Amino acid sequence: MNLRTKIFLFIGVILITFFLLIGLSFRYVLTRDFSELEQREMNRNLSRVTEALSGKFEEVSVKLSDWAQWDDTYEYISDHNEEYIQSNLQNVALDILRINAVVLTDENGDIIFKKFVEQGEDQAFPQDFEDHLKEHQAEKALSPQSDPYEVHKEIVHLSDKVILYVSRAITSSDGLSPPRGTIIFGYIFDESAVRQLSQLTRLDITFSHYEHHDENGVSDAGFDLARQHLSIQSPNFIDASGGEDTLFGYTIVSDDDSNPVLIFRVALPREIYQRGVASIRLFFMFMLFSGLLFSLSMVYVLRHFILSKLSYLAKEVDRIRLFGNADNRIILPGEDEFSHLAGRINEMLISRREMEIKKKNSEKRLNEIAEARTKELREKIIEGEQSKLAILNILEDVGASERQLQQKTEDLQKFQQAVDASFDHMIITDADGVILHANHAAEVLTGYTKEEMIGAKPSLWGRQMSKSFYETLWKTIKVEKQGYAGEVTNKRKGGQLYLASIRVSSILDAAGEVKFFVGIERDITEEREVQRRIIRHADELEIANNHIEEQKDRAESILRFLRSIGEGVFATDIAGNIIFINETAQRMSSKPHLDAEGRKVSEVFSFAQEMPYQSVMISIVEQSLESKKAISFPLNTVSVQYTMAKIPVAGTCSPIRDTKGNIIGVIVVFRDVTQLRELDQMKNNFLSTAAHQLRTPLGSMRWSAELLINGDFGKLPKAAKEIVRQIYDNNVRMVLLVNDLLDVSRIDSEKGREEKQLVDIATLLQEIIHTMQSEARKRSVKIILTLPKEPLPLLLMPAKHLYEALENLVSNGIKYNKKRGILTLTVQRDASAILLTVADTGIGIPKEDTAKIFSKFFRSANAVLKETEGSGLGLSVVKSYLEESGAKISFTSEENIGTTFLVEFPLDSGEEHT
Amino acid sequence: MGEGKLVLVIEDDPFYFNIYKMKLAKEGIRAEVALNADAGLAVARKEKPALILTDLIMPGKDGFEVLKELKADPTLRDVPVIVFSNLSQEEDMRRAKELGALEYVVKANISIQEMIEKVKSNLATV
Repeated sequence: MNLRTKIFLFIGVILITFFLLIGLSFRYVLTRDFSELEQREMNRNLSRVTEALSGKFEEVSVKLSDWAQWDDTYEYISDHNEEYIQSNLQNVALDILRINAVVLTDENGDIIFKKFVEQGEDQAFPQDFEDHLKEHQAEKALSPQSDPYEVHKEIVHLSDKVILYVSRAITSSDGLSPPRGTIIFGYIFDESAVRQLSQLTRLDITFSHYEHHDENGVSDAGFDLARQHLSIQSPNFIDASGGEDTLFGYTIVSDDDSNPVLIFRVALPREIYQRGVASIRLFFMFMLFSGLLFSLSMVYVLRHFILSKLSYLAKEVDRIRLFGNADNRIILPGEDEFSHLAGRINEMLISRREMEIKKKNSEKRLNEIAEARTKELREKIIEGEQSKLAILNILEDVGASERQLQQKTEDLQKFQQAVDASFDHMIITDADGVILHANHAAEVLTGYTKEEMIGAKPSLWGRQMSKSFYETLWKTIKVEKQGYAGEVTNKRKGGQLYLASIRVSSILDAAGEVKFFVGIERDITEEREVQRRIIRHADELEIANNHIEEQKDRAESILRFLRSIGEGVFATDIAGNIIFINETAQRMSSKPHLDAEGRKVSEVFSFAQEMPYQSVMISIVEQSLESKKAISFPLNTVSVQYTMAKIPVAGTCSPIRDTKGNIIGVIVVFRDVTQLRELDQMKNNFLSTAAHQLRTPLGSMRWSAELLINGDFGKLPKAAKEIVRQIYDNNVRMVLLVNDLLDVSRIDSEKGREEKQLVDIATLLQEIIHTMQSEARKRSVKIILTLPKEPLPLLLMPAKHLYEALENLVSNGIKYNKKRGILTLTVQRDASAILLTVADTGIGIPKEDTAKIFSKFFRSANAVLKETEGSGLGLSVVKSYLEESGAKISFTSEENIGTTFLVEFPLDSGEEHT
Repeated sequence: MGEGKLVLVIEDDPFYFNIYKMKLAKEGIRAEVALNADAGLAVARKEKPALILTDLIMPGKDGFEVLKELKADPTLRDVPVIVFSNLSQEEDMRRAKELGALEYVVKANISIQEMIEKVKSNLATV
């Protein structure tokens, strides 16, 4: 079987198996599904039929109930008034009611009125119906237990028809009088009733009686089959044997005593099934078609690309083999494996051709040589045949030993040639170890010349090992005649020791006795050194490696720690890409569900600074990278999330440096300060309210006292006025104390920061001196202000706070000065700062208090003595406000001589403006 | 001086209320003092005062709302308003200024004399 047939067979078998599998599984699985669907549909339809039937009952029941509780009917049962019948129960009335029978009975169940109408004509009341009614009414209708309002529904199968009827007790309309007799409505269930049901349910319905075959004698095989399957326990039966077009469903209807009476048959076109089967067929056809198409294309591809080329190759090779012409070449265009194969075959042919040529040439030469020799020999033979024969016997022995010697010499010569060519040191000794030959490499290695070595023994440069070593060596090579390989230490002619790898081989003669020894030596001193170095290097590498591992472990444990801590931590590279982020930071980022690593900081975090009426986006990481400095988050920084929720945060961003000090990124550590901010807010609210509440009574007391002093309520006695003035003064002190307290708390919460503006120190000082002049005069203190000639540069400062700070200093200079003291204010400018000195000639600061002078609520003893009022907050406020301005304050003081405060405003603290 | 010109003071604290009433009258300044914002605004709309002083913390409408309503009324928009309050948080001050207050005075920080001077100097410039 050739390849082509095999492939076709293979594809065929695969295809057929595939189609069989698919076809069978579809047929089995899907067809079953369709049948199930169909049966479900049929069961639904069957229940619709029974529902429609009970609907029909219901319709008649409603009409019956109207009649049953009509007082005229009620009366008729007792008075048998014929007028009631005449006016109400004519044929037309029955027609309108769409019933065929009306029966009225009295309390005893005896029929007092009966009427039967068919197609508008009066008919004799069927006897079997009457019998049936008598039998049933006696037991049912008026039994005292039964509910008089209950309507009984019945089906009765008479000899020639089926009648559905409903019955109910007759009651008075008000329901107060006892029920009286029964009223019964009946109608014939015939073909037209079935048609009605069909219309109602839009189903193809036929019916048959349960017990009897159809009257026309034709027995319906479907109904017969259904009768076998149907019972009260299984009221539905589905017959799928009707072929692919129609499905039949049967259901039975029972009378009140649960005796099956009717069988309904619903015929349903098998649309679902047919459509399903059609789809399967279509799908199968499609599969078959595409399978065939696929196979054909496969066959085409195989033929065109593989089989045709294969057979072409085979044919060509056959051709070349048959005709034996090695000059032939296979030509196969293209760039695939086959053209490569052809190329190889061609190469093979070429080399075979070359070999043939070579072979021919050498054969030719051999033949020539052979001919020449033959000719020579023939001449010699002819020439010396006679003499040779004569001395042949005598010379035989001699010839043999000569040949032996010659052989030996030739062997040795061969050895020597091989030995001389070797790059390794090589010597040849005789069986006793006397050196017969040494090569050039041996001269180089040992330092001895060939002449020195030949005739000597290798011990010339040996003898460095133990005696037993040489004995073992000798035993191995001489006695055991084994080769030896090992390392020995030898000594050069110059006395230098070297490590050599040696190999000694014994050359045996035909008798197995040692003929020569061949020794090969190689200097491996350097090699060893290199080895040693490599080993040492490897050790070092391992140590370094361990070190790196340790570092890595340590770094990993730090990372683990960073990942789990409550602070948000993330790090970026120099370009601002996040290279590490912990869970807390991720949670506080703007997109907590984003994988942040590798993204730009600006993509993951939006930090903003909350101002009173706006938020300003800030880029902390970029600022830090640019300035190469650690940056703290500004006050009121929030992390804005994508939901626009804002998390208040505080933290720092610091550059990360490598070992050389180059910045390689930043690390940001921050935390959620929601609670802190809330607490802060609560504190501020409290302070604000407290200050307001304290000031309100203080303020009105102040004004009242003032009114009293000014005599607005009449002139006060002098003593009273003095007291009121004291009250006034104390009141003002209380107000100032409240203000100081508020200032200090504001500074503490850093809430009190003020917008900066351009300030001229000189003007500011002049204003302060102006407002303090009256106070100074009161205490007889002279104020001297010295300003530099050149105008001072304007400074960007919180103006109000600076004013308060300097005012406080001047006020202290006045208050704690001696009487007729001097307060000197001097402003100077140097290269980097504006310097202000405020020097008084007052009480000075005691040495032991110098450290505490800027502390809150601290007042030194001499100050308390001099000025009883004062909160001890002034200098602390001064210091805070000056530091907010970027200025520094220091002082020198001597008790009872004076204090000099020095304030430095660095020129780079704010931008310089002239 | 400001004779004839009306000063409206809105002040809920009865203590301050009485002092304003008495002192301004004594200084010969025609003044109406209202105990709450609504009363004050009613007077303002009726009498068109030349200067209004208002407290901030008051029952019912507060001083900020008074400012808002005054500035929303085209006939009262240009009447200078000075806030006289005992609140001193910078936020409150800034808010009052932004709502159009001409000046912000912490009551307890000034004497009654300074108050009178402020009223007089403001009336003089109207």
